[in-house]
Amino acid sequence: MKNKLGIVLKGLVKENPVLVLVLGTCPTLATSTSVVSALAMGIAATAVLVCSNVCISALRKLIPDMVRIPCYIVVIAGFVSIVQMLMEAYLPDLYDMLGVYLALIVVNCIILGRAEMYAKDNGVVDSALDGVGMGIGFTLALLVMATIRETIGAGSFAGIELSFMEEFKIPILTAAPGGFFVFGCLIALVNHITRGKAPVRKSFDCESCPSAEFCRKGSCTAAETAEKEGNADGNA
Amino acid sequence: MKKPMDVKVKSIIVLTVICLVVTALLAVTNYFTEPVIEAGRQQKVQDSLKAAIPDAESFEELGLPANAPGSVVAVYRADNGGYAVVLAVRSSYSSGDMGITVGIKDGAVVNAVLTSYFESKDFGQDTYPAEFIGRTENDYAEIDDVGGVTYSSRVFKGAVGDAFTVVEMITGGESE
Repeated sequence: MKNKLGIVLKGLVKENPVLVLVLGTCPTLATSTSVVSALAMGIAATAVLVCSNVCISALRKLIPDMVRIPCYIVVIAGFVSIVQMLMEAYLPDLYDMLGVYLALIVVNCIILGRAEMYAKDNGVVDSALDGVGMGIGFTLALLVMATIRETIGAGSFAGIELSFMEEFKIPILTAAPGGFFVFGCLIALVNHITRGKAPVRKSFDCESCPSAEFCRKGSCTAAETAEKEGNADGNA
Repeated sequence: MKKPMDVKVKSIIVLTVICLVVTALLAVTNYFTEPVIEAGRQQKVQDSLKAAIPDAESFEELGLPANAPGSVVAVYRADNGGYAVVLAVRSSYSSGDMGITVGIKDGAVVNAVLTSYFESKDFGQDTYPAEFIGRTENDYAEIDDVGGVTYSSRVFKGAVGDAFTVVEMITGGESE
């Protein structure tokens, strides 16, 4: 039980997809100008993340490596289209507010990243919990960013004007440079809180390439050979 | 160990089956949501007519003239003598139509409303369409194109021109 809870909780801070893994930066910057659109994007992405994680985990033994990525993309695109249709039908105002960024969930690195990093190697329940944790982490990061940007940048919260902020607005926070500034500050804050215990991304070598498992040829093999030779020389 | 050909055949079959299942799920979702989406779109058009000519109480749909511009979807005559033109225009780089309703009365734009545009985040929050209010066929083209709006201002201006054209065709050039 503790393990299951740990799977959910790790997505909140320790492995937060936005502020630690630095995935999904585009929708984060684009939709965090207002709290309402950030919340809508977070919920939509969480729904897609959980459904795609469950589906990919359930099919992981059936999908051959050769067509792994195309299969994941088809599954993710299917769920995104379903969410899009439901939102256009029943939440048209939110659909208009999110615009093209709703469709762009298909290429959100968090969704494909979790499919590749977690769902393809773990069971259905664990993958669903991972999706929930990562989704909540994504939504929280968006909400924190949107709260800062909307409150200080536009002097409002969830569209409600805050009269006491009228004199202290910093409008650049609602624009792209302000978004990057808040994003950087939050990453620094999370880094400080986790004191460097957050997972460090592997170096950009062949081993950390998603295709390394079934590639192992050409430049990959050459790089490995060179690395082994280097180690051997060092040991000698 | 599996032969490479077996793996290829299995890959093709699995990918095809996944595509078919996803397509079926989309078809089912579309079956249930399509009428609701269509009703919502119609409601948006009706609301935009009222926004285009706020003084009017009712609107009567007119037939389109044979050589009306291709962007014109429908034309409505308001009970106060104005015309509301519903247009769907597209810029060369966008993936979806921009829905615009233009209200024209006494030869001048009463209001121009952006009703839908898929690629625009913060949809409808800019003030560009309001610049056309009060403009006539002779001076609407003087409004500058602008950068920074999330849709093509040039295409928007073209739509207003098309609205003037179709209203002129219907009224025969008389002051409407």
